[in-house]
Amino acid sequence: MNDPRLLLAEDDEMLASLLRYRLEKEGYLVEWVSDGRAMKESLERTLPDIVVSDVLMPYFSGIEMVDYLRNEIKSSIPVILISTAGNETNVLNAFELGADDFIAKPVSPSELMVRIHKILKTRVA
Amino acid sequence: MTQTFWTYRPLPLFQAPEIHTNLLWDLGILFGSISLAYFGFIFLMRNRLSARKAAVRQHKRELAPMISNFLFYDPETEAEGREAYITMKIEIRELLKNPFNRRILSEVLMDLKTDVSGSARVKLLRLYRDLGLHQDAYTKLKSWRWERVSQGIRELTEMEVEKAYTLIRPFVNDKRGVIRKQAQLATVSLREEGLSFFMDTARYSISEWQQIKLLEILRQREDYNPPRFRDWLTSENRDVVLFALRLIRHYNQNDAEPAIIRLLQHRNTMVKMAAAECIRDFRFKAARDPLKVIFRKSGEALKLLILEALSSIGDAHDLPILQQISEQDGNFVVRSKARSVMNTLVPGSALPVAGIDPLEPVAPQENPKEEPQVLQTFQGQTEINELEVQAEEIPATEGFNLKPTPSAPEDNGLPELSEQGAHIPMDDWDEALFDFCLKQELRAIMTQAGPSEEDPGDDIAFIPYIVEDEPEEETSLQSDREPALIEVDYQVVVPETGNPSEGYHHETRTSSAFDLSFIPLVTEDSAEMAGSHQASEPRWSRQATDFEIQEAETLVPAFGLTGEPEDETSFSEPIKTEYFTAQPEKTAPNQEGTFCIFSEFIREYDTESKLILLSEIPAVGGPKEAAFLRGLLEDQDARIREKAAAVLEELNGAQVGPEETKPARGLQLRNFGRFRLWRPKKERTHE
Repeated sequence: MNDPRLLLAEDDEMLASLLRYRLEKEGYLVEWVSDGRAMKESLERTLPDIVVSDVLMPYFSGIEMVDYLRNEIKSSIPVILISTAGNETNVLNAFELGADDFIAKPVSPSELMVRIHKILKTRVA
Repeated sequence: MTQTFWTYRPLPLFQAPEIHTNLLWDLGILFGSISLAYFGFIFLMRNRLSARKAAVRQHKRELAPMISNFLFYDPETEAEGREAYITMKIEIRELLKNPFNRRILSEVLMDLKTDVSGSARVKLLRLYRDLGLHQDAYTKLKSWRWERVSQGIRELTEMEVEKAYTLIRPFVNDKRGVIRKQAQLATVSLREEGLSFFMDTARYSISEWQQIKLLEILRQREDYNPPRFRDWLTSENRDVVLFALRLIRHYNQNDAEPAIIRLLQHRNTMVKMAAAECIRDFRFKAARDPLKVIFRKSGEALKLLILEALSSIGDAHDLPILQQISEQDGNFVVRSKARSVMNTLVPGSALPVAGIDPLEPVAPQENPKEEPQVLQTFQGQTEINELEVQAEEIPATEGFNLKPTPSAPEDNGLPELSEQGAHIPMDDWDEALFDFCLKQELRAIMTQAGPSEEDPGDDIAFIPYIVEDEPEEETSLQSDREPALIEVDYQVVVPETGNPSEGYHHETRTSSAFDLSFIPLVTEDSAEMAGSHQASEPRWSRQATDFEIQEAETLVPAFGLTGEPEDETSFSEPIKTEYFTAQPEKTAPNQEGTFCIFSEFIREYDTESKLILLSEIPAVGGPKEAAFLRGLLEDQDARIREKAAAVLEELNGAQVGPEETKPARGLQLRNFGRFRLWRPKKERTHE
C-alpha cells in the first residue's frame, strides 16, 4: 500500500512545520497549505486520503472546507479539525456538516497521529 | 481739525508683513529638507523592520526542523539517526553563539509551547533549559528597563524554570506595576508555596483581572493542595482579603464562618459582596441577622446578593422584612427579588400585586367572632371563586387593613406599610407578621382536616403573642376616625389647704378629653404581653400621626414632665398617671387649687411672652384659666395686671357652659398613659 496522502492546513507556520515533520516521520505524504484559498485549490486539484485542518483559517475556514467537501465535491474523505479550546460551537457545526474528528489546541502530536491512524484504519476496513 | 483727521482717516486692521523673499526661500528649503529627512527616516525604518522580520522568519524556518528533530528524536528507536542528531546538536550550539539566533530560538520555543501538549511539550521545555536559553532570561531580570524585566519574568514563567522562583520573588512588591503583576503570576505559577508567599507579602492592590489570572493558574495546577485561605481574611490588604474570599469559595473551604460573617461589616462593597456570596454558598445561618442589618445601607448589587443569601439560609421568620423590602425599597429589581425570595422561603407568601383590581368591601359580619378566611391557601394554590367569597368575609382586624382601598393596591393579606407604618419597629413587624402567617397556616391545616364547628381562631389562643381580634374597633391604618370627647378621670396632687408645707393629697377629678384610645400604639412590657395573651388591646399597630405627636409634646411639659425620653427604651415604659399630676411647687398662683397649664409659662417667661400668652387664653381657656387670671390681677407688673383683667373679662364673656364641659387641653394626655407617643429623634429628623 502506498503512503497515505495528507493535506495539512494550518496557518501557524511553526506548528505546521512541527506537525509536518512528525507526520512525514510517520510515513505520510504531507502537503501543507497556510490558508483556506490554497487548501481549496489543492482539494480541487487532487483529493488526499485525509485532511487535517485548522478551524480558523484565512479566506476559507475549516468548517467551510468540510461543507465544500461534503456538499460541493461530494467527497467523503475523512477530515480532522484542529481548534482552540472553547470553540465547541464551531466544532459541533463541523460535526453536523460531516467532520470526522476534532482535536483541541494545544495539540499533542502523538495524539493526532493516533487519531489519524485510527480513522484511516476504519476507512480501509 | 484733529477730530476730522481721526474721524475720516481709514485705519488698516490687517497689514501684510514685509518679509524678504530670500527669507521665504530659506524657510521653504528648511521645511522641505525636514520633510524629506522625516519621510526618509520612516522609509528606512520600515525597510529595516521588514528586513528584520524576514530574517526572523527565515531563521525560524531554518530552526523549525532542528527543533522538530530534537523534539521527536527517540534514541532508542532511531539508532541509525543518532549521528545526524549529534551533528544537528553541534550545529545548533554554533547558531546559539549569535544572540539574535538565541532570541529567535527562544521565541520559537515559546510559540510552540502554547500550541503543543503532551510529551512534545515536556521535551520542548527541557530543550529550552538544555540550550541554556533561560540564562538570557536571567540577564533580562537585571535590566533597568521595565519591559525587559517583565519579558524575562514572563519567559521564565512560561518555560517553567522553577529555579527562577527565588530570583523572581523580590519583584512581587515592585513599584512598577507591569513587573509586579508578572512577578505575582510567576510566583504563584512556579511553586506551590508561591501563593502563600504572595498572599502574605502583597502590599499593592490586586486587580480583578489579576485575581482571575491567578485563579486560572491555580485551577490548572495539577495535584494542588490549597492552603487554608481563612488565614488571609485578616490581612490588612483589602484585595488580599477579597482574593482569599474568592479562593475560599472556589475551593469550598467553609471553615471560616465567623470571619466571613464579620467581613459583612467591611467598608468595601466588594468584600461585602464576596462575603455574601460565601454565606450564600456555604449557607451560614448565623449570618441572617448581619445580612439584614447591612441591607439598608447597601447598593443594588449587594442587596440582591443579600436577598439571594437569605433565600438560601432564611425561613418564614424572614418574611416580614422581605415583605417590607418588597413594598418599600426604591429599586424595582430589589423589590422583585424580595418577592421572589419570599416565595422561595414560603411558597405563596408573595402574590401578584401589579394590575390586580381591589376587591369590593362588604358589610361587616353579624358574628364578629367568626374568623375570616385567608386569601390564599398556604401552598400557594389560590382558588379564584373561593378567593372572592373569602375576601368578603374579612373584617378589618388586628391593625391590618385587609379591606381593599384605592390607596392600597397591593393588598396581599399582610399588613400595609404606609408612610406612618414604615416607622413601626421591625421587631413588631416580625412578631405580628409571624403571628399572622402562623394563623394562616394553622387555619389552612384545620380547613384541610375537615369542617369544624369551632372558630379556628379560638383554637390557637394558646400561642403567645397572638393578636386578638377586635372587629368592633376599626384600627386600620387608613382609619379616618375623629377622636370623640369622653369623660376621663384624673388625679391631681394638690397641697393640703393650699399650703405646700403642710403636705399633699391626691384628688380625683373628672373632665372631658378626646378619646384617643383608638390609637393602637401600645408598647406593653414584653413580660406582661407574654403572660397575658388575652390582652384586649392590640399589641402593635400604626404610629401616631405628626399632629398627635406635636400635640403630645406640646402638652406634656405642662404636666411636669421633665423632658422627652432619651431613647427607645424609655418609650417602652408605661407612663404613670402620677407623672401628669401637677407639681405643687411649680404651680402658678392659683387660689382655688386648680391647675392651669399656663401657670408655669407665665411664671417663667418674660413680660412680652406673658402678654402674648395671655392673649391666647380666651381662645382656649376655661374656668381654671379664669381662676388663674384672677390670681394675676395681683401681679407686680401693671401691664400683666391690665392684660389679665382684659383677658378675664373676655373669657368670662365667652363662657358658654358649665365648668366641667370645658376641659383643659392638657388633660387629653390622660388616655395616653400606656401609649407610645414619641418616636425617636432620629426618625423625626429624617422626616
